[in-house]
Amino acid sequence: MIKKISKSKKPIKAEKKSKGFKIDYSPSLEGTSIVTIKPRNELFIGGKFVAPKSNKYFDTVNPATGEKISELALANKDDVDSAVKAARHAYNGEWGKMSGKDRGRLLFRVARILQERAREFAVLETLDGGKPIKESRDVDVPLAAQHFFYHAGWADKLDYLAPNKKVSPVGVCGQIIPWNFPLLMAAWKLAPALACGNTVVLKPAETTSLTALLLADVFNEAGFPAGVVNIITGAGETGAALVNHPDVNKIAFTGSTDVGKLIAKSIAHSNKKLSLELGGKSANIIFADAAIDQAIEGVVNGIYFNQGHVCCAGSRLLVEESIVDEVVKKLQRRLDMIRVGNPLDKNTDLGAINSLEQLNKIKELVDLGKKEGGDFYQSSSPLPKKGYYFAPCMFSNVTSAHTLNRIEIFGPVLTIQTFRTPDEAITKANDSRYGLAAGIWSEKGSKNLKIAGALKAGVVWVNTYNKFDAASPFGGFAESGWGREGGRHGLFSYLKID
Amino acid sequence: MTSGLNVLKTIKLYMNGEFVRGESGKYSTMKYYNSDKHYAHITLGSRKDFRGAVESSHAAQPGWSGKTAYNRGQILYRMAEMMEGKRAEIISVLKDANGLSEKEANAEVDGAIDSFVYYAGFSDKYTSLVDNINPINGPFHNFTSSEAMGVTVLVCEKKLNLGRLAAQMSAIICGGNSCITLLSENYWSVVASLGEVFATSDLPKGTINILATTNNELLEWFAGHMEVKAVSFQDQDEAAIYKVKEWGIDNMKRIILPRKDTLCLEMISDYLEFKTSWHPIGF
Repeated sequence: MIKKISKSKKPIKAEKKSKGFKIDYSPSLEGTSIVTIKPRNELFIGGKFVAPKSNKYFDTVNPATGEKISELALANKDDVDSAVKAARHAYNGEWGKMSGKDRGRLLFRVARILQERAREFAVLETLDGGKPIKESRDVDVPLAAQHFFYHAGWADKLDYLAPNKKVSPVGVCGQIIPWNFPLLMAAWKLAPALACGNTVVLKPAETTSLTALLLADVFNEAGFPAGVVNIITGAGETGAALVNHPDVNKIAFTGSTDVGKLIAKSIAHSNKKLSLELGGKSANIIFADAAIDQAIEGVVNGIYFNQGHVCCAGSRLLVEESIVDEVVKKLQRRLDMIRVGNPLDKNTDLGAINSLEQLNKIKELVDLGKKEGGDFYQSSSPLPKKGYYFAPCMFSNVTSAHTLNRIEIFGPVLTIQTFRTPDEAITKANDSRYGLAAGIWSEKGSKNLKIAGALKAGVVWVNTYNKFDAASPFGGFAESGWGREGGRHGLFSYLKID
Repeated sequence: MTSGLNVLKTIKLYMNGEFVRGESGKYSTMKYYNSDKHYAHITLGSRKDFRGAVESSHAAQPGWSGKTAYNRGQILYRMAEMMEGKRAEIISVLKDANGLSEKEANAEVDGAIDSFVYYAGFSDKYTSLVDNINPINGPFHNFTSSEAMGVTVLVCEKKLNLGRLAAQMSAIICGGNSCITLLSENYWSVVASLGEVFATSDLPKGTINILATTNNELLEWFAGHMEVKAVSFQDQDEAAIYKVKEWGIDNMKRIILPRKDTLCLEMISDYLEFKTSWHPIGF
């Protein structure tokens, strides 16, 4: 489960300054010796690590320091073709003939190996992506393992999904995942696809490929036939080559709505199946009858978890007008207690921004927000001198038309609006092109059910936020995507039903 | 003393619960099957008519999706009753304008009635089959419930098949969606009769709108309309499907393609959104 980032057992010595607090605590660094990072990483095709036909490599950096940690192979069109051929060969061969029971057995092994190597994966995830170790350790890796365990059990029970119908795999799946939850997104994509009997070519994000490549090692350890899972690294061009490859039957993409639309457009003239998990601008609504302190923690977890690099982040806070002063004051106080710093430090609440490019984007948008108006408040937490960091911030007193209320920032930036009636809260919450998630904070059960029913969002958290589970379907309405991931509903993205 | 002259029926669009002439004044002339004899003028829907249909369909959404499943089922059943009452009329139309034999025309009506009844009996059951309580690894009541996508455009197939058409319309509204139906040439003869079935079934106005159109004339407009949430494209024209998919991307429309079996659960779930809610359990 998600650990609330506010609940540290360590005492915080705080010294009041003119603006916020200075946080003084002893570092508690996680060791990195458990991980061996190869200086150069190859492509994983047909069960082996192979050099790219492109002969090109690119650097991957640790965003906490800005320093290069390894090189990744750049897959070109020919490499993508080799990966798809390997996947097709496996699909037509051993994997395609394997029983659901045996597919499940292999997936169970993956779950177990991930649990056994959990710390290694957590440290690598933090080194490669900049997220706090306590999140990669307590959220990303355990949930990834759960995903494989959950889907392993489905592999021999697919006939229960559609009584009176024939269910069969789609074929070769091309899967493209983002940089915010690299291992977890790989698990979200691979586990259901494999449980349903498909083979896969997976492309992790160019800034965070290392845990996916380590996962390749796990698939080999588990004894998967060669070519069932292929992992290719590269940026947009590699992804485009995969999307447009004629022998791919299905594309699954998680990322921005803009890129999702480009993918949808590029394969509109084909019969490829497509599932998309795209952006969001999710509303988190606090009513006056909420347990306010609990709600404040939920808001903090909603927007500052994983540096705000969360598609379902509760980035638009809607507060009932009568309590807005109290909520803003408490949030400001809480903002100053968020510890920004070395992601390997177990005390760190907010780690490094994933890349320089993303850091610059956040800075630009915050500058734009300041120009457009609203009351800006930013944590006074000191930032490390090296690496990519951004102190958590919020804009209160903004309108629905404010740019920061319309577009996805993917950073630790919260906006705050008010409402007077439940109807106004619903209207404002639904006033978005997205429909991924929403939060409701109220102690009145009947009201929660009514509001949850009226919100146009695929996931609604009531008196909680940012909770995930392999058994819980995830995905959005409207421009937040097509299809669901996780749970019974997620399986339909990887099956043909005749 | 009777005049001996029949009163001919003017075939109009069925929009917002009313029978209307299109705003453009466009029409097409229908002849008796295999004959030059005038049968009727058919009002053709324009782009503006389509926009009007979307408004009406959008306005109908909360009321229709807010009805109880039992109530929606009864209204769907009422459609079967009304269709049965119009059997003789529809058979006569299908014989005169479409050239069907008595037996074939009867089979068409039977097919439509079967479809209405099938989905009338499904409205208060499908959620039991597609919704879910999810076993979460923690103290949460977590459930996935289905809801309507919203305004849905149904583009009928070219070949006349009233059973399939009724199944598609029924499946769409069974789940609480509103349905704008675009009927191509082979269905023009039954536009009026179908409209009358829906107009007398206690179906709230705007839940179903029917526009007669020429071949794919409105394609770009419905695929690009930002208030249309889903398109059921039953025409097998591959080039047209690709275009609809492309034009629908702006608001990420759900594009639903034909199923072989039109009487099945998947026909309903094709037109549903799924929402998962988390509620903590504790004191």
